[in-house]
Amino acid sequence: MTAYIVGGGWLSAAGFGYLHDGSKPQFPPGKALLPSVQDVFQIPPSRIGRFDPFTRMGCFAAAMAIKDAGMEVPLAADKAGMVVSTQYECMETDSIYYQTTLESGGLYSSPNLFSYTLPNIVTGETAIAFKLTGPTFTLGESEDHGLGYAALDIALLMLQSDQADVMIAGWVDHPFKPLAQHRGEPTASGSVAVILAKNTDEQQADRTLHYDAKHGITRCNKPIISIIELFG
Amino acid sequence: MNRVWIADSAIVTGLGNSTGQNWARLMVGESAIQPITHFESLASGFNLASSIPDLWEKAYQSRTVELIRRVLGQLHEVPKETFIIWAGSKGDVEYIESSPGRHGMVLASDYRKWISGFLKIGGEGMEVNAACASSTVAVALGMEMISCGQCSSVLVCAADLVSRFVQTGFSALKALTAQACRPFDQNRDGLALGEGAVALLLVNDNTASTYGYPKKVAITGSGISNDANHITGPSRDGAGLAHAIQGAIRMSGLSPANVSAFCAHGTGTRYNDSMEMAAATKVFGDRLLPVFSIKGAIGHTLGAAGGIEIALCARAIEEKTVPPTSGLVEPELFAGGRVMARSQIFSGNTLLTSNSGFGGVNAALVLEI
Repeated sequence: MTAYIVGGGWLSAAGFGYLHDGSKPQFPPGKALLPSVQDVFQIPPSRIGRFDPFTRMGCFAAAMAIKDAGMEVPLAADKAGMVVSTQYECMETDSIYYQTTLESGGLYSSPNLFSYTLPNIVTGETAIAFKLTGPTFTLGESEDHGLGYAALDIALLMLQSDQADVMIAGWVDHPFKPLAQHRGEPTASGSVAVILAKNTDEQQADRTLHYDAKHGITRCNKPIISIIELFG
Repeated sequence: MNRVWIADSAIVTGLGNSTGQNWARLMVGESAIQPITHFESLASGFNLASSIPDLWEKAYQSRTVELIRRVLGQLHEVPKETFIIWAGSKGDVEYIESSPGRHGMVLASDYRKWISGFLKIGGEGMEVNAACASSTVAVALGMEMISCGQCSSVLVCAADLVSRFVQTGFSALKALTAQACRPFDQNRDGLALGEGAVALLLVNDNTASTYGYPKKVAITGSGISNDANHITGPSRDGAGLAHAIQGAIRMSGLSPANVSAFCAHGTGTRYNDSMEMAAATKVFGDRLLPVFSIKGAIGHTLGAAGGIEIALCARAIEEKTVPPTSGLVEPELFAGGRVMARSQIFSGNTLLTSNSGFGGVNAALVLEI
C-alpha cells in the first residue's frame, strides 16, 4: 500500500514549524509554545477555550498539518480519521479533575474537566473541528521505535484496510511532572502531526510511504521508525 | 486475507467470574447492579454500580492488575509470538486517587508489559484508547493486523474499575441512574457503571490449527467512525454509528439482511439508546431483528465493555440465542419488537456488536459462525 505525506506540523518548547518549511521537530524539556489560533484555524473550534493542554497541543498540531497540506476545511468529503500516540496521556488533567471531586461528597466535581480525562478526546475535538468522520483513537507510544511510530503504523493500517482515505497521524505528550520525575524521564511537552493520503496530485518519492506486513513502513526502500524522520 | 478466529476468551464482571457464569445469570435476567459500598456515597445520590464484591474485601497493590490476573488465569495456552493490545480506559485511576508518593502500575504500557511478563510471552504490543469503545477498537485493529498478515495471534485485554473518579465524573455529567439501569426502556434515566475485565485471543487459521483452538466464531468485519459532533454526547441522528456498522458489514462481504442479531452498546442513557435505535433503523430499516444490551445486568464496564460483549456474543452466536435485556420494562418506540426482557432465539450465522464512546467514536464488528 502506498500513502503520500501531504502536510505536517509540530510544536514544542523549541518553537513550532511545518513540513513544507523544512524545519526539523525538536522536543527539548519545557512547556510548548503554540502559534496563535488565528494563524492555524480557518474556523477556531467553539470549545477551544475549554481544551486542556494535552488536547490543545494535539489539536493545534493537526490543524497546522491540515494548513500545511493546503486542505480545504471541513474534510468530511474524504473519509478522514486521526490516531495519535502518547505516553503520559492526559494525566495532569486527571489529577486536576480529581481535586474538584474532594469537596462536599463530590457535589462540585467539574463536568468540563472530566470530559478531558480520556486521552482520545484530543482526536474527538479535532474530529469536530475538521469534520473527521473516520477512525479516531489514541495509542500508547512505542518504546521499541521512534517518536510517533505507533500512530504512523496504525494510521497506515487504517488506510490499507479502507477504514479511511486520509489519516492524521501524530504524537502528543504533556508529562505529569510528579510521575515523570519519579520515573526519571524528561518532561518535554509537545506534539507533531502529519497528513497521510491515499491519493495526491503531487507525488514525490521523498513524501511517499510504502507499507506492507513484511517490510513495515518504508520510504525510498529505507525503513521509517519515527514521524520525525518525515520532516526536514 | 486471513480469517480471524476467536480462539479463547475470559471475562470477569459483577455477575460472575467466567463467561459461563455470566451467561447463565444473564439468561435468567439477573442484575449485579447494587449500591456501591467500597467508597463513600456521593452527595449527588448516584450510588449504584455493578462491583465485584471480593475485589474490595482485601488490599491489593493494584486492583486493575488483580482483574487482569483473573481473566488471564482462565485462558488456555497463549502462543509465544502473540501481539498484546491493552485497552483499559482508566488504568491510572488508582494512582490518581491514592495518596501522594504511590507509584507502580500507572501508565497504559505498564499493564501491557505486566501481561507480557505474566504470560511469559514476547513483549510486542500496544495500547489503545477509544474511551468506551476501547476494546472494540482494539479487537478491530487486532483483526486487521492478523487479516493482513502482520501478526498470527493477538491478545486483547482490558480492565476497568468502579472508581470514585469515574463515578463523580458521570454524576457531574448527569449521566447516571439513581434507580435502575434500563437500556432501551421508555423510562430509562441513565447508566450504572460496572467493573470488569476481558481477555480475547484472536488467531489466524494456521495458528488455530497448530494449537488446536476451536474454529467456531470468526470476526469478519470491522468499522470505526467518528460522529464529529460532540465529545460527551452522541450524534442524535445515529449517522456516525450507522457509518461504522455499514463499514463492518461491507468488510465482511455481507449485507444488512444477513445480520441475525445485534448486541448494542445500550447504556441506558436517553441520548445513547435513542441514537442507537436511529442507527439501527438507518441500517436495517423497519426490520425487527433481535437487539440486546447487557449493561442493565453488569453495568457499563468502560474500556472493557466491548470485549466483554464480544466474549458473550461468541456464546450467543453458538447458542443462536440473545439474552434478556435486564431492566427493560417498556421498550421505547423504535426498540419495540427488537429489544426484549426475555431471551430471543434467532436463525442465521451472523451477529453484529457495537460500542460508542466519548470523543464521538463508534466501532462495530461482525461475528460469524
